[in-house]
Parts: sequence; C-alpha cells; structure tokens
Amino acid sequence: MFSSLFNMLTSPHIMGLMLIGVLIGIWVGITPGIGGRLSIALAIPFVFGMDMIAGAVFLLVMHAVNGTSGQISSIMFGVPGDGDDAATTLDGYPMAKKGEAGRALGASMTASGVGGIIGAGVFAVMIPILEPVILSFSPAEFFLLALLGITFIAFLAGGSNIFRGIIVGFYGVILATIGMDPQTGIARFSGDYLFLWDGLSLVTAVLALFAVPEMLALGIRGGSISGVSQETAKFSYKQIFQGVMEVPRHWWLALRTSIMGAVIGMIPGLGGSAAAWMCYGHAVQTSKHPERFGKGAVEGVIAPETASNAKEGGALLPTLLFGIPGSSGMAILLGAFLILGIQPGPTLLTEHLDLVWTLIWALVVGNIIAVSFLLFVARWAAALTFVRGSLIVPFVFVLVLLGAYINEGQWQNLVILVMLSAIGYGLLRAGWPRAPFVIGLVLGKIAEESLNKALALWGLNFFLRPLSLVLIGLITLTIAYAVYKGRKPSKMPIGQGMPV
Amino acid sequence: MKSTTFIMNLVMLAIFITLVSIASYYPPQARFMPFVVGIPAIVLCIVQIALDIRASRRKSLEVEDTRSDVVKAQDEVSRYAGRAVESEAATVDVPVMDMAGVPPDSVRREVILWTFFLSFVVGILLFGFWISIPIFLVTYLRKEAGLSWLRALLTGAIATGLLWLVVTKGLKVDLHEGFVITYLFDQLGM
Repeated sequence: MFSSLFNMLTSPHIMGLMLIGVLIGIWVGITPGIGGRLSIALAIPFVFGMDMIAGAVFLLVMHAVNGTSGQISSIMFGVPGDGDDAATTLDGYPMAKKGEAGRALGASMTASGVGGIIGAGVFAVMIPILEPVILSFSPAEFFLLALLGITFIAFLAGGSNIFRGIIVGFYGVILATIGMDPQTGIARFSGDYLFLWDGLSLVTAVLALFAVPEMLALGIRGGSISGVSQETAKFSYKQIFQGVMEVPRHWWLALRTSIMGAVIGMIPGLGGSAAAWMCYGHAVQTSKHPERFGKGAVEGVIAPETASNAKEGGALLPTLLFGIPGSSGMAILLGAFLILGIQPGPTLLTEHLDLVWTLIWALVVGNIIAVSFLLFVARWAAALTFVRGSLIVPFVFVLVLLGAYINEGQWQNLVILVMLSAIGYGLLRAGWPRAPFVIGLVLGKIAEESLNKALALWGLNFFLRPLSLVLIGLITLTIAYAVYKGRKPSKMPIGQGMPV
Repeated sequence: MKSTTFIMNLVMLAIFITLVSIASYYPPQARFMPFVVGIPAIVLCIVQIALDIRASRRKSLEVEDTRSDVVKAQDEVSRYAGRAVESEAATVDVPVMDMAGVPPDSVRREVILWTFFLSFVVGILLFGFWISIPIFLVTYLRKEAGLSWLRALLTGAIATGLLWLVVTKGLKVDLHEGFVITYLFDQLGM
C-alpha cells in the first residue's frame, strides 16, 4: 500500500508524467470546448506502448483534475463548463458578483481537491470489502457484466432512450468481432484487408466517435465566452486564501459530501451531475440558514465541488474491479487502460494490486498538485476561458490524425477514421449517446471470450447460476426503469445532460 | 420526429443487417457472437423506429426542455433540498454560445467544416503529414479563425516545427509520406 506511494514518488518518470497530466488536465478543464473525455481520447495514442503504470497514472490524473479547474468559468462568468459545474454556479457566480470571486475560487478548488482525496480514500476502503465478491466471479458473470456495463452506460448516457444506447453499445461489440476469430481462425468482416486482421484500432475508433464529432461541432458553433468582460477576472491572493480556509471551517460538510459523492460515483448509471445536485440539496437541508443559498453561500460552492471530484474516485471502483464504467469519461478511460494492457476484474486484485494502489495514490497526489498549482495561477488561468473555439479546432484535428496514424503506423486507419467519424457525427447530430460504443468495443472481446468459456463449462445452464441471475435481474430492472421513465415525457431524468 | 434520428436509425439497421448477413456465411463458431449481438440489435432498431414514429404522432403533447444548465441545476437542487433555491446565476443573461451539440440550421457551416477535415485527410494521404499540416493550419487559421496571413503563417510554422520535434525526434516515428510524394521520389530515383 505505502510502497506504491513510495515507488511513485521516487520515480522521476512517473512524477514527470503526472505533472504533465495535471497541467494538461487543468488546461482542458479551463478551456471551453475541450472536455475531459476528448482529452483522454487525444492522449491515448501517445501513451500507446508506454509502461502500464506510467500510462495509467498519466491518463487518470489528467482526467481527475480537469473538474478542479472547470469551475473557473462557472464562478467568474456564470457559464458552467459542463453539467457537473452547474450546481457550483448557483452560489459561485453570485459570490463573484459581490466581489468575492477569489474567495469562491479558493473554496471551490480546495473543496475539489479534498473531495478527490477523500474519494480515493473511499475507493481504498472498499477494496477489501469487495474482494471476495470479485474473486467469486466466473466467465459466465463476466459475459453478463459486459452486458450490464453496456446497459448502465446506455442508461447513463441516453436516459429514457435506453434502446438507442444499447444499439450503439451493440454496434461497438459487433465491431469488436472484426478480425481473426480466435476459435476458428476465420478473418471476420476483414476480407483481404490484412490491417483489419488484428481487429479494428481502438484508438482510431475512439478518436472518430468522440474527438472528430466534438471538434466539428465546436467549429460549427464557435464556442467561446469572449463576450464576457475580463474585468470580473480580477481578485487578490488574500481573497483566495480566505476561500481556502472556508473548507476547514466547514470540514464536516466537506467530509459528508465527499463520502456521498464517492458513493454516488460507485453506482453506474447515476453519475453525471446527480452527485453535485444531491450534495448541494443536502447542504441546503442541513443548513441553519437555508435562505442564503443561491445568493452567495460558500457552502453552496463547497458541497457540489467536493461531491463532483469525490465521484471520480468512486467511479474508478466499478471501472477497474468490474469493468463497468461509472461515467462516460470512465468509459473512455477503461478503453485506454485496456490498450495499456490493464484487464479490469479479479486479476487486478490478485496480480496487479500494486497498480490499483498506485492509481489511488495518483488520485491523491494529482489532486494536491493540481490544487496547489491552481491556487497559485488562478488569477491568470481565468484568461484561458477567453480562447476561441476556432483557434483550438485545427490543432486538435492535427493531433487526432497524428494519433490515428501513430498508433499502428497504417495509413488505412485514416480512412477508417473518416468512415467512423461520419457515424460519430451522425450520432451527435441525432442526439444519440456515443459512450456505449466505447464500452461495447472495449468489452466486446472479453465478452466473446467469456461467453465461449461459459458455454463450454456449463452450456446454457450458465444463465441459471445464482450470480448470473442477479446480474440478469439488474439488466432487466435497468431497462424496465428506463422504459418506465420514457413513458413520462414531461419529466427530465436525474443526472442526464446532453447525450455523450 | 427529427429526420436525423430517423436516418440514424436506418443507418444502424442497415449496418447490422449487412454484418449479420456477412456473418451468416461463416462457420457456426465464428458467426456465433455476431449473431448474439447483431440479431437483437436489428430487433432493437426496428423497435426504436416504431417508437420514434409513435412519438412523432404525439409530439404536440410533449414540451421540449429548453432550460439552461444553470436553471436545470437550480430546479434539481430544489427538488433534493425540499425547498426552492433561487440563484441570481439562473437569471443572468450571459452572452455565450451554446457549449454543447450542434445548433440547428447550420448546414452551410457543417459543409465547410467537413470540407476542411476531408481535405486535410486527402492531403495527408496524397502529400504526407509534413506538407499537409502547415497548409491546413495556415488555411484554417486564416479563413476560419480570422487571423492575419502573417500571424496564421507564423503560428502554422511554429506549430509544425514543434510537432516535428515531438514526433520525429521525441517519439522517433516516421509518418506517412504521401502517395504522390513517394511516387515522385520513385520516379526521380531518390
């Protein structure tokens, strides 16, 4: 446990990568138009072939810290970078209007860091509790877990339109069957194209489904907040320090909302903005002066920020131990982990426990570095929110095409990228979720292998195993609940924003 | 029903039908997984088309949710808090573009962006990365970002130089040189 921390801290390579990951994560969080999901997709080609631990630490830290910097535009301009930051806007922006932008930023960044650290702690506590459950899983359960993963992420991303999410997930699974069939040696859906015999490039597919459509959409709509006055971006370090001290002053609230956020993050399908909303609601409920909320109460900044970042630690648990991503960002991260050779499931606990602990410590150390750095540069970092989308788009396109090529050194991947980008853009344009595709693609091979093993061991009786029945029940309940929600068109589902 | 949704349904249906049809020629073991996934997906596509058609008939009864992220957050936290939370942030009129999705009536912009993207890919395939990257960057920064020619040229040159250093010297990767360039080099005996 502590040896993982020592090894991490004494490795200049890992610490250097972590620092780069923190800086990129912060930049991505502040700059409008580039989300955490997109940054992971763009980074995957460059970690390909990297040492498993170093690559995983780099990607995880980059993903985990971009929420910490994301609230700058929410607080200073009332413009939430994404749904998670919207709850922070409710009190953060009124604070900024009262001339307390520095205090609000100090409180939100510290709360975010504290939430990230406690979230990692909750994950660590859950490992020995869940270990016997995970180790009892057989191939039958792993096949059903893959289906459950697709169902959960389809519900998370598509809400009441769960069928669309499942269709997209199955599209990912069927594309995962491209290439040489391990049982018969038949090249499926590959024809004479040798470059497809090893399967579809996961990097190319993720870039096509996420990065290209997002950049096309950003280029089309513009996407800058340059119309906001930069005058509001002025505040002193004294104000920031006052904000930092608000978190220890409200330590009990920060602790409660961090734990709540981490637990919500562990429940796949709930995720999204629900953690921030619930914890804000909890802060209002438990406050002696609830009438202050919405008018600049610092607790209204601390509660959603601790929850939002603690959720990442919680979401890592089902992602790593069950292969079920707790959020759409985690879905892409899971894909990246598989590319690095990290197989989710019991082998992580039996053979790579050091990696799990390293990732937990990376969350802790990454958050500390990010908060320390952001508190120092917050005054200048705000200027990044004024970057125009049209200045970002061409550089991201260059990185996307470099990434698609570098991964396998095949020019054909550029053609595949264009074809899949058309599908990805169609999904974005039609409002269909795209995250289930990644899960389908990354879990497809595991699902097929597990299904074949389960059938060989138990025949069709594997469906009747007790754990299998529980998982089948969960899949059925999730679909039934989504269909039920879909029949009530006037109600917005909790935790659902734009399909992702 | 949005026409893009309907078209997407048909595209997905066509993809699954095609893949399942191809898989039907494989030996039983090889076609098992494509069938396990593809056949239910075909059924789901058909169900989704039926649901969309039914939903379009009762569209007039539905109210589209046009609330901003902040207003949605305000409504949701009020629900969890059990009391109304009213924030000044929910009423402020911020001059900001929509930060998600694609605005309607943007076909012209879509054609322009796709043309840039496809031209860049074709350029790479024909002339290679190191010729196409600066041309794409300079053209995009000048035409779309509105930079002056001088600033666009400088930015394009610096960015290409940095990328060359990272990719060629740092990662030690040889990028695609382009079919036309390779052909010309072959003809010149280089």
